[in-house]
Amino acid sequence: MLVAIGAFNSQNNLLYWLFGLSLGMLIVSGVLSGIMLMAIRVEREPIDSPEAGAPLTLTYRLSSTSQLLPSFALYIRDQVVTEPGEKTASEDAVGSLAGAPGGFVAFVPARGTAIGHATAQTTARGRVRLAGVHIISSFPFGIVRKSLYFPLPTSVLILPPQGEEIDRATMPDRPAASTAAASPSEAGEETFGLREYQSGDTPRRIAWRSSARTGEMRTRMLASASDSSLIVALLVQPGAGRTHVDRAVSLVASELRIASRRGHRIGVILGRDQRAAARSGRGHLAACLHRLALHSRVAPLFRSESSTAGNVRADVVVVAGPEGVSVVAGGNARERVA
Amino acid sequence: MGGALALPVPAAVPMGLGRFRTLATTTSLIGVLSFCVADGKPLLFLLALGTAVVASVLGRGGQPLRLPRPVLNSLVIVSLLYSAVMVGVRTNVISDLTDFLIIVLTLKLLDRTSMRDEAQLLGLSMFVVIGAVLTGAQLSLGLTLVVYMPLMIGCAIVWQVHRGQEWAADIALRAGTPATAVRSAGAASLWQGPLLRVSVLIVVLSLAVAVAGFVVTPRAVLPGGPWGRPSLGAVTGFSDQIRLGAAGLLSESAEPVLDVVLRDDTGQVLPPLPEALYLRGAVLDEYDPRTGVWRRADRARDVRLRAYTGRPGNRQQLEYYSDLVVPDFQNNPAPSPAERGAARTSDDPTTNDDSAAPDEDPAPRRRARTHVNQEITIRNASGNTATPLFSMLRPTEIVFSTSVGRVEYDPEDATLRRHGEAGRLTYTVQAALDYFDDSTARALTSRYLSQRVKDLAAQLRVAADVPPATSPQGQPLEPAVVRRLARQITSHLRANYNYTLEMVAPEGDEDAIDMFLFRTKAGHCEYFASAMVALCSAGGIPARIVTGYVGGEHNPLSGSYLIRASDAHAWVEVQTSPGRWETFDPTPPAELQHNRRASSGIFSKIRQLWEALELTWGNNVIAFEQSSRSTVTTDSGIIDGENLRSVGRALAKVRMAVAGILPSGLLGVMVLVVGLLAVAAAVVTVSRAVFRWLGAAGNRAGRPAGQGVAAPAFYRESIEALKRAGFSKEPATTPKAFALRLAAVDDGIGHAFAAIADRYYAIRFGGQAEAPGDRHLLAVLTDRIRAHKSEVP
Repeated sequence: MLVAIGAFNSQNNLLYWLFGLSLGMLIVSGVLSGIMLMAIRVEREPIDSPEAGAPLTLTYRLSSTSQLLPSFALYIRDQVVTEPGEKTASEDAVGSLAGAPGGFVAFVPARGTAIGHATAQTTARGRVRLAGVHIISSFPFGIVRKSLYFPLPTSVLILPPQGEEIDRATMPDRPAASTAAASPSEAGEETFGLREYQSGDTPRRIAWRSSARTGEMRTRMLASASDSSLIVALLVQPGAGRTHVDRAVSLVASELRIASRRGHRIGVILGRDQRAAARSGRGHLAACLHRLALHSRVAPLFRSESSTAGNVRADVVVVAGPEGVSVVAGGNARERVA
Repeated sequence: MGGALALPVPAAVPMGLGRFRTLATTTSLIGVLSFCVADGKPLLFLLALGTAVVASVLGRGGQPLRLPRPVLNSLVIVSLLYSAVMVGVRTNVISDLTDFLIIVLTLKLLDRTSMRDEAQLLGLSMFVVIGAVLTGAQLSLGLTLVVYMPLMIGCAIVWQVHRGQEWAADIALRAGTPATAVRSAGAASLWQGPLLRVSVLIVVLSLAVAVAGFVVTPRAVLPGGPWGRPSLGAVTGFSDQIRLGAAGLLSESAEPVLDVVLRDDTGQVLPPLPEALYLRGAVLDEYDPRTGVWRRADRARDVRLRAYTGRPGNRQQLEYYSDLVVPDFQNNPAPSPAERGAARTSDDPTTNDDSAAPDEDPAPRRRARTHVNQEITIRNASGNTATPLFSMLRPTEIVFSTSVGRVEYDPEDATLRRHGEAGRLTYTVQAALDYFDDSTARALTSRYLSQRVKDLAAQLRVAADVPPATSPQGQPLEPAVVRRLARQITSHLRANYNYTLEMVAPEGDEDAIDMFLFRTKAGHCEYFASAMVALCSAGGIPARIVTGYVGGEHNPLSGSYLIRASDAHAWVEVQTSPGRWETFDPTPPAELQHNRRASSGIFSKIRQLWEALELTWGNNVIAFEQSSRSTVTTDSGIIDGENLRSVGRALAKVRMAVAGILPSGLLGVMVLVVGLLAVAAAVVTVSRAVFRWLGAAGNRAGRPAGQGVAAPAFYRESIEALKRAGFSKEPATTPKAFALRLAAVDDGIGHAFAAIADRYYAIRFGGQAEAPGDRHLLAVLTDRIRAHKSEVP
């Protein structure tokens, strides 16, 4: 605009030339960015669950339907839902990110695809809901900024962070956990090897990934885990703040991770309705962490004072109270906590 | 679990940032060069160039040198203060501000750590270029702009990519992710690939729109008029006032100031004339011996200046000759003295003689005369002052090609002056090859002349065999006698005085003319002309000084004469009879550059080519204005109805021709269809070739490493099969999640698709190729779907 005013004011033809060039760049920028952007389609790729504090990386598949022009310099902005969700979802702990995930794709070929990544810093465990993706482009000159919105609702589970390890030496009663080695068995839960697929094998035990990689159907051989187990209970007392709850959750998660890594069967008790029996395997650990990540309610640990813990016995009870976090160990945890 | 998904990080590739920095540095330096060319400041460019070299050499590991922040800020403040002072001292604000911008740009070369710094560097260079455009209009500036603009556009394009990379890497680092994990794949190879091609396309499109915008944009001044138009560079060496007595060495400037093309009435360019071009600018007929200043005398009240408005296309008669004869220079290069008759001009003073010019006074306004058209371009007229419109001989008609402001014609001395804005002016003057003038003789007042001058004049009269004058108001001398005396004075000055550009100041109250004639006996053309006018006046002959340009260099490529500032000259016009002034040049001819002819050497040819280009650039770009625009868009018929009708007629002819060739009936229609299909196929083939060149064939070979691969065929077919079976996959659903959903409905389908999903991931992200077994997985899925359909009623 300044160049135009200068040209009209001075009647300087070189300024008219600059004005014409600016006009040309503006038009080309508007047209090209529109053509390049309108041809873009976006799909989400699988999202992993990071621990709180770790980076969240979202992956997208961008494809171009344009027959003519490739697309350049595409900014990706994922939209985080900040409003409360549905009633059931709102009971889950809401995770948070340090900012909206952002990424950049330099080039998407015409009639081709490209993979883009957006990252953000995770700050708190829980579920983060993502509404959709903005694809923004100001190519080629940064003069005209255009964006497309793709509603791709999904959610990301942010797991509890790796907290400090519980110092069992200071606990009044140490939980006993055997360290018996796992023994191979066809009836166990932990994979210890693969064999060729045999007729009659259940599809649930087919190692799909390995089969896909090798081109031959293979079946997983399972081993039974150690008999030792560790059940950790989390008690959130009324008045406990989010900070204390999160710390307690991270302690429980750490305990479960360590125990799982050492081959113990693990279980978690988050309330009378949320119990995970002691089992082994990565899947079970993931399920336990999943429950921990979403745990938000202040729930009684046991049905009543007179009742027992049923058939579940907590080896470690982590208590989040208004004043802080405490850890109680041993088989009489209920009495001690009560 | 362990945090983030293990991403398929592409192989580490150089991102081309170093090359981009080099490109940005080059672009910025060319921007600086444009201003230095426009304003004649080579040292400033050398400063920027040297700094860029130093920054490049001292930069470690490919990273540019970075000055400490306090040092950088101090240098900027110092340069700001210096520029502020210079703006206060000098008058050329734009030049000083641009100097400051260049200094900041130079410092910025030493402080580049991010893409933001690169953007600042390029932005500064853009402002420097605007400063250059406001300062000059030379062809060399135009050439630098031609180089600068595509580079600038390319920089802007590549900057977008690098800035995005930097932005994403910054976010990733804040989140704790290695930058390489989010770096966009294949960015480095874009330099040689699609980005380069698309950049070329964008540059071409932008420049095409720019040319169109340049042509069609109306040349209309903003309401309220211009708000201070900057001067377009230095003034010429010409002056409409002579000040004698200044000491010092005069330097000759080779700067081109005028372009003159001589044409006949048919518009044909005339060949180079054997005579010298004496382009009259100003007539000085009043001398003040106290100050040594020659100036144009105030005109009497009854002399009415004729004023015109110099708008493009305006044609103005300056005389009323009805019997003008166009000289045929093509067949008769120079009109002979006989052809010119009694009114021959003494345009070549060195060969002026009585035999060529009869003594009888010609009958005014009735003599057959010849004339010549001079298309004159003043490259850089100064504004806000009266500027002469130069003309060879006596102007009889003027046609304006550009707006020149208000034009005044003084019939007393046959000069044209204009008042208007600074800039480039073009006009065509028709001049008579006749030096008749009915103006009143205005002689130098003899009371200003010293006795020594009068004595010398008397000696020269005797030497010329001219009888002593009884009184200035006595019987006028015969024209032949006047010429004889004038030639005597000319010969005396040429023989006894030296030409020099090194001047000394008069002593005390000494008159500058006296100093030249009797003490130093050396001077430049102004002293020679002043002395001759003084001697003529003392001898009783009316004479006056004319300043303008003489000589010039004929360029056979453009057919024009190039007049430089060093061609500025002063000579004398002597009134040989009432109303008739003849030109005499007392300056030694060896010192004049009469009609230089370019040598035939290669460098001379190159220079001629450059000057021809410069003239073309000036006339077609710099001087492009409303009338030119109308000529291009309307008058030439590019966009008028006649052109459209011509197109229609041409199409009708084609149709008739085709109808004549094609056989009649169905066969003809078929041939026509086949022909059209062939044309369409050719268009498609060419288009595909262009698209391929643009890198549009995305899914083909040559894809940069690490770039996303399209979904395998068996995967796409499985999705289609599931869709047909009623299981549609939403875009937001990942393949694995989709497999889980399928398993909830039908365990067999879910597991079959899970196997396909595993292979899909292995191929997309694991770098594996499709295998024959993949089709088997699709077959398994199809069986499951079929089984599901059979189970579901």
